Amino acid sequence: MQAALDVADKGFKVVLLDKSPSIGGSMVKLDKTFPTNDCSICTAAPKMVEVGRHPNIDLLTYAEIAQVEGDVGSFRVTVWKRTGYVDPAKCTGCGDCVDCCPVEVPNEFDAYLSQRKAIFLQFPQAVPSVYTIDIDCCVGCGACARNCEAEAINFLDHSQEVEYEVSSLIVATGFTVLEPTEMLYGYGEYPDVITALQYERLLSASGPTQGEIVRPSDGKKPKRVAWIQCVGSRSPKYDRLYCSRVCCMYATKEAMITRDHHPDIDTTVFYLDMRAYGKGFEEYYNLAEDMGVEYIRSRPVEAFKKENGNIVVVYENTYTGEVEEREFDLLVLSTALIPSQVRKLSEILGIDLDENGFIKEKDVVFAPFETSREGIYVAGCSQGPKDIPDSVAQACAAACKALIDVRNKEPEKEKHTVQEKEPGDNPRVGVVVCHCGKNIAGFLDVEEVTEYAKTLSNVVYAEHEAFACSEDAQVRIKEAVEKNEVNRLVVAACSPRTHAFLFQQTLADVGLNKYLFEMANIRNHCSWVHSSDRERATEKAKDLVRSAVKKVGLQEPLHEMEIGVSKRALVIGGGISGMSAALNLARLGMYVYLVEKEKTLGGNLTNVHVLFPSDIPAKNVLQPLLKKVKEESNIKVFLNTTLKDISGYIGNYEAVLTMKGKDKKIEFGTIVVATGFSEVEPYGKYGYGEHKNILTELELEKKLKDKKVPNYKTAVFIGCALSRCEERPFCCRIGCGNAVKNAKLLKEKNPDAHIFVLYRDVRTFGKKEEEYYEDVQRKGVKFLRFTEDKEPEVAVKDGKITITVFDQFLQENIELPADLVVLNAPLEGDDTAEDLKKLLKIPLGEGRYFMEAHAKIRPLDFPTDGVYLCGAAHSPKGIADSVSQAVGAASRAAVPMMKGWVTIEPITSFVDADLCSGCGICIQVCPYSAVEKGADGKSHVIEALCKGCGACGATCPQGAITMKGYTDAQLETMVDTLLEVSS
Amino acid sequence: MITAEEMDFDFTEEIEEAVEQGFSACFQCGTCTARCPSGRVSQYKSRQLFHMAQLGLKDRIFESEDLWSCTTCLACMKNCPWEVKTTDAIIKMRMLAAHSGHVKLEHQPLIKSLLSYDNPWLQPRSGRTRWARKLDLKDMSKNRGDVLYYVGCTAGYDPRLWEMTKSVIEIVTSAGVDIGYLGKKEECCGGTVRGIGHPDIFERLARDNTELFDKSGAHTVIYSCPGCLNTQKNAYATILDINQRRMHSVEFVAELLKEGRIPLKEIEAVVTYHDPCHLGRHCNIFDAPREILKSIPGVEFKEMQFIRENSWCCGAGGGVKTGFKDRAVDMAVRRLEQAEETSAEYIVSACSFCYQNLLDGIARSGSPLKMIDIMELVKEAMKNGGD
Repeated sequence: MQAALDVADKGFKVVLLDKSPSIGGSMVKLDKTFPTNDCSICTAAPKMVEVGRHPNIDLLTYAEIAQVEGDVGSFRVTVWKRTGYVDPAKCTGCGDCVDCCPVEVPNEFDAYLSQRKAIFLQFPQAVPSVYTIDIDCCVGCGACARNCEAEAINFLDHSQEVEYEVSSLIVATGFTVLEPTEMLYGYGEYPDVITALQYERLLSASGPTQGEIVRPSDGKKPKRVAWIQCVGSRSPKYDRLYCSRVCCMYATKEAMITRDHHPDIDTTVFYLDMRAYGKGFEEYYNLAEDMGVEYIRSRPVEAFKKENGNIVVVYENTYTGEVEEREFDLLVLSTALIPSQVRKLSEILGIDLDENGFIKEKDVVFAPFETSREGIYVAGCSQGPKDIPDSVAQACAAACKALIDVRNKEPEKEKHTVQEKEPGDNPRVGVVVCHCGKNIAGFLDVEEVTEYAKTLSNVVYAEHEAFACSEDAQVRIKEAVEKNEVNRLVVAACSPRTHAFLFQQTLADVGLNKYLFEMANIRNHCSWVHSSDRERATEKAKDLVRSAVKKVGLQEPLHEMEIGVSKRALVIGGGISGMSAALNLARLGMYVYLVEKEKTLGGNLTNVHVLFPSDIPAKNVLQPLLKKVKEESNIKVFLNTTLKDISGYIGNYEAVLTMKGKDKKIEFGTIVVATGFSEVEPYGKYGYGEHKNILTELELEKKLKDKKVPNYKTAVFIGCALSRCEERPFCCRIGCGNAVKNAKLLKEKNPDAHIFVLYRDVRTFGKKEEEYYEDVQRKGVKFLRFTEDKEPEVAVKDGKITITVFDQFLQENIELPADLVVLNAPLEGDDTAEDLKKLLKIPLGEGRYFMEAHAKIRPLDFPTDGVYLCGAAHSPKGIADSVSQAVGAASRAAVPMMKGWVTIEPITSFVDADLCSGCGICIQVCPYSAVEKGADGKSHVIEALCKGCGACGATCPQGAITMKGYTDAQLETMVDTLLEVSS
Repeated sequence: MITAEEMDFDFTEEIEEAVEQGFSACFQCGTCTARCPSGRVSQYKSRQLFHMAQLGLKDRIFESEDLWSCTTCLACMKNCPWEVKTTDAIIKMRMLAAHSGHVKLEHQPLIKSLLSYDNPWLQPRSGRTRWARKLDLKDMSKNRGDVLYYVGCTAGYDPRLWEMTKSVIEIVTSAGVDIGYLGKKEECCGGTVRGIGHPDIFERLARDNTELFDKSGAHTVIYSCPGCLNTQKNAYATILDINQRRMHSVEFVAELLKEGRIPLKEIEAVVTYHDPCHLGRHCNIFDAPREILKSIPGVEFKEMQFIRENSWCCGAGGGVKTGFKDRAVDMAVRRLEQAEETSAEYIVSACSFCYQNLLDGIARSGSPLKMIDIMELVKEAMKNGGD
């Protein structure tokens, strides 16, 4: 979806295929996503609707590729579009067909925990929202057709072949989970042993139990739930060495949610290494422990069912050495992520698969989004397991590459939307109250609220919907608006932050100004916080609806501004991320200013010896890249340069660069922040600073490069020095990889030397990394595990270093004389980040890393439009992930630039010059520098910069400032009406 | 406190070479320990033994009784997700220990016995023929024959097992098979002594037996003890040519039953079957004994919870019966408790060693189960014979 949107938003046409009847993939099967615990479908559904209604996206679901011929630039693709025998134009989504269908088959959407009929809708928010007949299990009785009032079912319809000519292809077929029937955990034999995906369905409000956690065997609530990690992953015995990368986090998430809903349920996670490597992951893991999730370091050997129906898990606690047979009520297996049936597809496309059946990338480090065939790109888990933000970044990167293949074609201008009509003076308000499944309707009486809405003055129409955000609901809303001549809409549902634009677009589709709209949040502000008092929650919902109706009654149409966007970009930071972003922007036809504070390009990569896990010397990657940047005429490089000042807004920035005291002015449209990371010297930890042979990772890299490594008989690596602690509760992500890589190097350099790696968890989660780790162990590097409460001691005396580490596996102290000690020092955002934060007004978070717009689905965007983020400036990461993000950021930045213009939301402030006294307080309080003093001495608002926060409006002593969409009159009427007693 | 001086990485490398660098990749998941029968009745943790080996703590290992605690049941190796050759590593470690003079005290008589008498029981060679005295069994160390019954030391010398050995002969002879044995020339297969780290003694025994087999003209050798079968079929093959079909008596008898050469009558018995480690996990023979049990009319066969590859070791193998007498019986008692859950009358096995140890277990715990070998059961059910 992300890849399709990135292409389509730039003005190019995309055909999006999915073999399921609906888009959404695996994300819509999840309950919540880590590490924010956001509702998954709430995050995904707006994107799905955006895809469904995008004029440049040709959406073909229930379709597969049959044949591909030709070459990059002109592929001829034949698509086999299966028919669902239901006419999307006629289907109203009433569901009568499902009720009368006699066939029941296992429901793959619910991971086989429930049944579905032969005619079905995968989930309520499906896009397209059309019922489908699975002809493979349909018995042809015709009951559905007879019962369909809309006469939408046509058994005479047939599947079709459709042909397309495309310049490039992107494969994003995702993953499925292993069903471990051959393992000793009883999966397939005992109903209470399930996969984590099945547990996700149990947790989901749209799942087989509406979110109730129950045992499949007897429907009772479990008291003790266990998770077993690495089931089928990290297991050569079952032919899979690789790490599935996301299971540590999703098991933690599932356990946390369980504890959150039911503090009386005990949760236990059996793990080997907690791979909480990403942004916010370690903190999330700590939170889970605080919430009482029990973590046991062990790989259970088997699970069997006792006569009393409980599941017994047999394991050895590898810290205490105790062998236990412990009873649980429900056992969840975190099984391997495996490729989703790509073998046939790979043959059709003519692309290679790797040894695990995932799509083989052209280069693991440098081009993880390119396949073995030119013109065909790959994104997401089809290339290898990864989480949502990494998938999204890779998708943007694939979109970028796919578009470079199309570069000589002009983007199509967006078609004109429906002509807007005048709303008329009298407000005619329509109210739609949403059940949100059980999320709202489970805690307040939605129907009562709807009836109440009908009694309000100005309300001409009120209805309730199961899921107001679903596609078919939009159809009904549009019909109701037209039929009842509604000219203002209130939707009482969830948060406008996620869903307002959806309903606004619905209004625009029927010719209403999309700002004649108000959302009453009766979920976050009502059902979620008053879940124990149905009566009063219902009353409050009525109050909220009433005040929304009053407000929208006073709403005037507002009109968006269109501003042009310059085709020039500023990339701040000339490391691998900055250079990759710059190169790809240039290839898309943009002109790039690449600004680097040091005297050469290359960033931290300049000091790296070899890369992990490819073992390629960094210079073999850096030199060609530097050459390409130098030869690219569309990139202008500024060395020894920093950003001094900047003004303007998306599409129209003016900045002053400073280089050794000399200033230079430039103009550009978008900004990509790629300022990278810096290593913190861990003074005071593990003897750092007390001996010249106690080094940080980067210091060792430099010595390896310069061939100045001191002699050693014993070298010891120590992980997490001053990371993953109270002071810095985050993971540096690349420390384990670096330690393992350099341990191997030091061993190869001196085979007789003894090399030890002291670690807390080994976080080798990426592609080929687990195999690398095994190889390093086989080469004789010894790994010793310690825990946070019993850290190693490093004693320096008379020039000798002695390390004492408490080996958890032997439960004993081991004393090692070390000649060379290498510490995984903490990594933080570059120190220029503080300045950039102020200059660009972008948020900076923990570790001096910038904060993106949304942790899951917008990792490369900032809340401020026009500024983008990639690489280690976002959070520390390896080369492959940095390059994906960098090329992805290029794609993101290119959206407004290639499109040529952006629309500015009209919720801005407005100064009444007659009332303005020129005091200038508003200028001081504006966080976006959006107010300036004009030549007339009065304040003027730069609408393109204004974010509508209201600070100026609240501070103006003259009352001269109005917030469009939140006028004083509107706010006053809301307060007045809320203080009334509802009838 | 462990110091660097204690770490001898040459020791680690020697083991790793023998087991193809398996356990260096072990990251201590604990799967092996959780499945180890010896660990359930002692403080032995196989995982820690491997970690000590990874760290080259040779002296610790040699001086610890942990090294001798393994029954070589193979449960750890079969379950290890990283496919580490755990049991092979232990045997190699035992070899290195023995080589440097570290032999478990209790094993010393066993080794001396093998050197002097070709059997581990300190019994005279002629004692091997006692069970067959009244049988007029062909002596294939002198005469040629088709099928050779390799009795093994345990069955040969322990009178408790002679019903079983006699049953084998009776069953096979009734089917018209020309069977014989090696009499007092039979030497110990060498399985145990190999398992406790003496490959030189093992090799000598292997060569002696192989020479006898080849001279006898037998095309098939059948066994009662799966330990002997495993040793002579698999271990011998690593150093010698195998010129005969080598099968366990259950396989042989299962074939005869299928061919209808052993008519059976109905007997009443509720039985459960214990998969011996060396028959099951080591040789992958799970079905033949079950086919036999299911084909005897009137026998009600109830499976235990942990069977086939998942069977729990009786506790006798790997030198543990001799090295840790009480522990071996502790493990037997544990296995009997699992068998008791089936409410069967009889616990049936197909291994001399298991028979012995489980019998000791029954004696200790007073279990209501009756120990019987599968051959005894078949003999009972024979139309033309038995009582």
